[in-house]
Amino acid sequence: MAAGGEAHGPLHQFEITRLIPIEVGGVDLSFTNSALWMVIIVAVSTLFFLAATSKASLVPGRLQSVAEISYEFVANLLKDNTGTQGMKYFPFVFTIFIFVLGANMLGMVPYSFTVTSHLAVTATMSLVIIIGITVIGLIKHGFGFFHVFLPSGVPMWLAPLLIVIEVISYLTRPVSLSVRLFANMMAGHTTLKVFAGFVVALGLAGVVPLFFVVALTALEILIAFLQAYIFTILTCIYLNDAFHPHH
Amino acid sequence: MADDPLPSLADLDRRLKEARKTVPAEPERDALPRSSNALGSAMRLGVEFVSGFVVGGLIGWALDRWFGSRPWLMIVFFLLGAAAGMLNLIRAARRLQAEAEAREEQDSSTRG
Repeated sequence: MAAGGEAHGPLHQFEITRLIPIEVGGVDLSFTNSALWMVIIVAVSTLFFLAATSKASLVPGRLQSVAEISYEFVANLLKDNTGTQGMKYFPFVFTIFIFVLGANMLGMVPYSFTVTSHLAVTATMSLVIIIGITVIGLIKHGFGFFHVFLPSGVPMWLAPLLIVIEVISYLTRPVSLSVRLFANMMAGHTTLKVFAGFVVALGLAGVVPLFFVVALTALEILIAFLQAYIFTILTCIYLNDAFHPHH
Repeated sequence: MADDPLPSLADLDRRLKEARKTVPAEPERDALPRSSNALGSAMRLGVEFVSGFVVGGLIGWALDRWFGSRPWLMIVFFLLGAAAGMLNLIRAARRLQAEAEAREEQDSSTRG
């Protein structure tokens, strides 16, 4: 790795440490730093929305308007992609958005741990989303949901090939959903650390990489928001398939 | 209510409720997000494409292990995965294009 002479390489930040070792029946269920940060994310976002909505006034204050903007942002996203019937799942989608955004943003705090930079976390989230959406589609349309795999107007002799391709395409959804978020967060944070290592290693000339680190930090904050947005909008698009299996 | 200070407001409220009942609240297209910049969409398309290969290859590899037919199923499913990746790519690109077109339309209409 391109780690400088530092004791902590750029990948040190992704290390999982056990805080409270728990083992149940040979399965390692330890409370790790990753779990701790997830608890912190949930606590921070819950406290934020409690504080923001405690004094609901007609003319919103600063906190309240942030809460209202985030509500409207996600609500518009969901309405644009799934229509009004999708609003039933608003709490779920909003929770996903706030959790991912919270994880990405809190990951930008120095010495913190970025939960979303671990494939295990993002893969779990996207599997829950995709399996949940599949179940919703099956409940709503029964067998008709399998029309997702067969576009209408396809000649019969092409159907076996197309169904296999569509099934594979459906199976790529959790992969692309989780890999995108994980890769972006991991790559960004590694780059930041590598450049930060140069600042110390280069001495006085370290001003140049320092400038880059400042610029990259701004870019990372943009990406942190952008990835939360993309994760949410893709959830909405996939949810739309559960409502309308015929493309 | 005779002592209502603002009877017009109550009336307005009643009329609003009635109007909402007749017209289903359709999504307005005026809130298109602008934050999908070039970097985001490039990353989105890249992952969309590559994941097809990965999933296809993995399915083929698992089936090969199951049937002991190495390496034929993996080759077949890798190619099918490539097709699925293309399909993903085309769909994602179409979506991006539709978004961009809608945004352009909106821009030209607001400018007059």
